[in-house]
Amino acid sequence: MKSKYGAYCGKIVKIDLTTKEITDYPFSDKERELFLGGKIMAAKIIYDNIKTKIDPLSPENMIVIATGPLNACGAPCSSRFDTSTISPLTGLYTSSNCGGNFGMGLKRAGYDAIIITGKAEEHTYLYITDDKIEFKNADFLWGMKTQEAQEAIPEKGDKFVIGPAGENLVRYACVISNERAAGRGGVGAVFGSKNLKGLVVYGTKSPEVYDKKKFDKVNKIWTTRLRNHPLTGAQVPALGTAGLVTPMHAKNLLATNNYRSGKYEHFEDVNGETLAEKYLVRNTGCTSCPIRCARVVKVEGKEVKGPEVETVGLFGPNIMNHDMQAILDWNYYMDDLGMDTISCGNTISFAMELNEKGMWKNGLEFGKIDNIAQTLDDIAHRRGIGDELAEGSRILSQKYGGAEFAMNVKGLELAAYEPRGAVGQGLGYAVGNRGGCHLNGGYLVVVEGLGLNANPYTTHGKAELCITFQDLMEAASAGGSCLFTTYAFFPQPWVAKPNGLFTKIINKFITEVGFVLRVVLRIPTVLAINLPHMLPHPKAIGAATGMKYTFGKFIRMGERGYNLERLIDLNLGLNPLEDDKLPGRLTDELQILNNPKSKVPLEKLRANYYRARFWSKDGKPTKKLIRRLKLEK
Amino acid sequence: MVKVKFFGTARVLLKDKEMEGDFKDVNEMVAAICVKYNVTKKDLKQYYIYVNEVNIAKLKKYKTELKDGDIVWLLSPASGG
Repeated sequence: MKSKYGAYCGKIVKIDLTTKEITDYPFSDKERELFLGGKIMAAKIIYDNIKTKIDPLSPENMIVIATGPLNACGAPCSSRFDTSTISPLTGLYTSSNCGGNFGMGLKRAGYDAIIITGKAEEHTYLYITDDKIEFKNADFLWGMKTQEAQEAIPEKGDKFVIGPAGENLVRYACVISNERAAGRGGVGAVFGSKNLKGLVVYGTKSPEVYDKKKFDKVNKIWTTRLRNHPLTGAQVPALGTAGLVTPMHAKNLLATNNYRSGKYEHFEDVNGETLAEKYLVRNTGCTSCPIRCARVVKVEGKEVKGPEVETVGLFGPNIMNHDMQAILDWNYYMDDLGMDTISCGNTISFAMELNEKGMWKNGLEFGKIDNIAQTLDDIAHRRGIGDELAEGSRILSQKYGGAEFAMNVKGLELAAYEPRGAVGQGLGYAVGNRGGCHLNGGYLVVVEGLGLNANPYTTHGKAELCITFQDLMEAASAGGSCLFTTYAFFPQPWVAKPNGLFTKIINKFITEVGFVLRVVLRIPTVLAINLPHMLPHPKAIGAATGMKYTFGKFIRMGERGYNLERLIDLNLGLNPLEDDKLPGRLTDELQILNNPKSKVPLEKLRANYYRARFWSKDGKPTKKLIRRLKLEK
Repeated sequence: MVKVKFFGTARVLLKDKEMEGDFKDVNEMVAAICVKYNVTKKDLKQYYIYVNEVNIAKLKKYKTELKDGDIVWLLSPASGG
C-alpha cells in the first residue's frame, strides 16, 4: 500500500516461513499518522494479529522488523530500527532496538517493515534485495557465532544474525548486526525457534523526504545541538556510557553484589575513565551519528566493540569483579555467542547468590572470575549448569527459590541501575511494559542524580515525570532516532552549570510540577508548538513525511504506543497488580541502614502512576482512554 | 594532604587524574586547581564537588573545610543508557 507521505517506502511484507508465501501487508496512511513507525508500528501489527497468550517459541509467534520514517533520510542518529515479538523471557510484548546499518538497508531495499511468521522446515536465512526476497539454506551457517556467520554469508549487504545462543533457544538470546545488538527480551531465541539464522538486506533505493530544504535546516540545527550539548557532545563521546559508573557509585546507583549495595569500592578500576585511558583504541558511532558513543577496544589482538555501562556494571560490581579486561573479553564473547549481556550478567549474579546461600550448588561465586568465560559458552550451548542459566533468573527462582533477590520484573532482568538510590527509576522498572528495562521504564535516573540532581527519594512528581519520559522515548524510537538524542532535551545550562542557582531551582521544583504535567498528559495536543532547539524530532518528522507534527502530537503518539503495548500485554495474560512489581530486596530492605528512605515505596508510586496514566486502579487503560487514543477496534 | 580526583569531563578538561595538596577549604582547593591547570573558576562550575563522598551542596558549599586525608571528587553530570 503506497504512502502519500514522504520518507516512507510504502511497503510492508509478510513472510511466512512455513509456506514460503510472501504477501503485502496493508498499512494505511491513517495508521502511519497514528503509529508512525518502529516499535509503535510493530505494536499495532502484533496487536492486530496476536490476540491471546501464545508460546513465544512456537510458529504462532511473529517477528516484526520495523524502521522509522527518519531512517536512511539523513537525520542525525537515525539508524535505529526495532525488532518486536512476544518475548520468551516474559511471555509479553518486547521490542528490541538496534543501531548499525541494517534498518537503513531495509529501507533502501524498499521496505518500511517486514513481518516474519511460521517456522521454516530447514535452517534458513532471508536475502532481501530491491523488491525481491529469497529463502536461502542456512545449514552451512548453523552453529556459527555471529561474526563468523556474517562473514560466511556470501551475499553483499547488511546482515542481522543469531549465534549459538539463538539456535539453542537461550531465552535471552539476541540478534547481531555487524557488532550491534537487538539485545533484550530474547528476540534471538524466537529467530532460532523459527529455524531462522538471519537476514541480509541490500538496496539501492533512497527514500524521498517531503520538504528537503526544511528537513536539511532542521537537521543542521539538530546536529549542532547534539555536538554542543554537554551530555551528547562531550561526556558520552569522551567516556561512552561507561562514563556513568563513577556518578552511579557516587549516588548509590551502581548495582553491586547482586543489588545488595549501590556502591563498589573498586569502581575506579571499571569506570569509563579507566576504559578510555587504558583500553580504548578509538570511539566510533553509527552512520549519521555525531555523538559516537561506541568504544573500540582490543580482545585477543582484535579490535572489537567495547562494553556499555550495563555490561560493565553487571559483569563488574554486581559480581564483585574489578578486572576490566575480563569484562571486555566477556562482552565480546557474549556478542559473538548472541546473548543479551544484561540478562546474562544478572542471571549469573543471581546464581552466585543462590550458591552463596546454599540454595543451588553451582560453582559460581562472587569475585571468582576464572570460570565465567566457560560458563558463557555453556549457556549458549546449553551445557551443564548453562542449560539452567539459559532460562533466565525468573525460571531459576521458580526452581530454587530466592525470588526476592532474583532481579527481574515480569521475567526481564534489571539493568545496572540500583533503584533504591533513585526510586522513580524503581517505578519505571516495575511498570515497564517489557519488564525490568531502564529505558522502557522512562530512565528517570537521569533526572534523579545522573544528569540533574532532583530528590531521588521523594515520590512527588515521579509518576508524571516517568510517564513523560516514557512517552517521549517511545515516540523518538518510533521515528527511527537513537534514544540518546532525547538527552539533549535538557537545556544546556541545567547540565553545564549543575551548581548554578537556576539549576538548583529546577532540581528543587521539578518533582513538584506533577500536577502541571498531569494536565499536559491529559491533553498534550494543546502543546501545538515545536521546540527545534530542544526536541527537533517532531519538526524533522514533519519535514520528512509531510505530516503535521508538533511537540504535543509527538507526546500523544508516544502515549498511544505505550498504551498499545500494555493492551497487547493484557491480551497475553498480564496481571498488572501481580506483575508490576519489584523483587522484595528493593521494596523491603534498606539499601543504606541509617537511611529509612533508601528503599522503593512502590505501592504509592504505582498508584500515582496508574492515576496519572488515566488507567484503572488495577493498571489497565480505560475504555475512555482507549477511545481518546484512537485504539478502539 | 588532601587528594583531589577528577572524573568525567573534568578529567578531559584538566588532562589529569588527580592532584594532592594542603587546602583550608574547597574555595582554596578550587583556586589551586585554577593555577595548576590554567583554567578558570567558571570552567570548574560545571562539576559537582564531593568531599568524602558527600556533595558539598549538603555541607558548607565552597566554605566546606578540608583536612589531612580528605578525598575530594570533581564529577560531571552524565547520561547514557
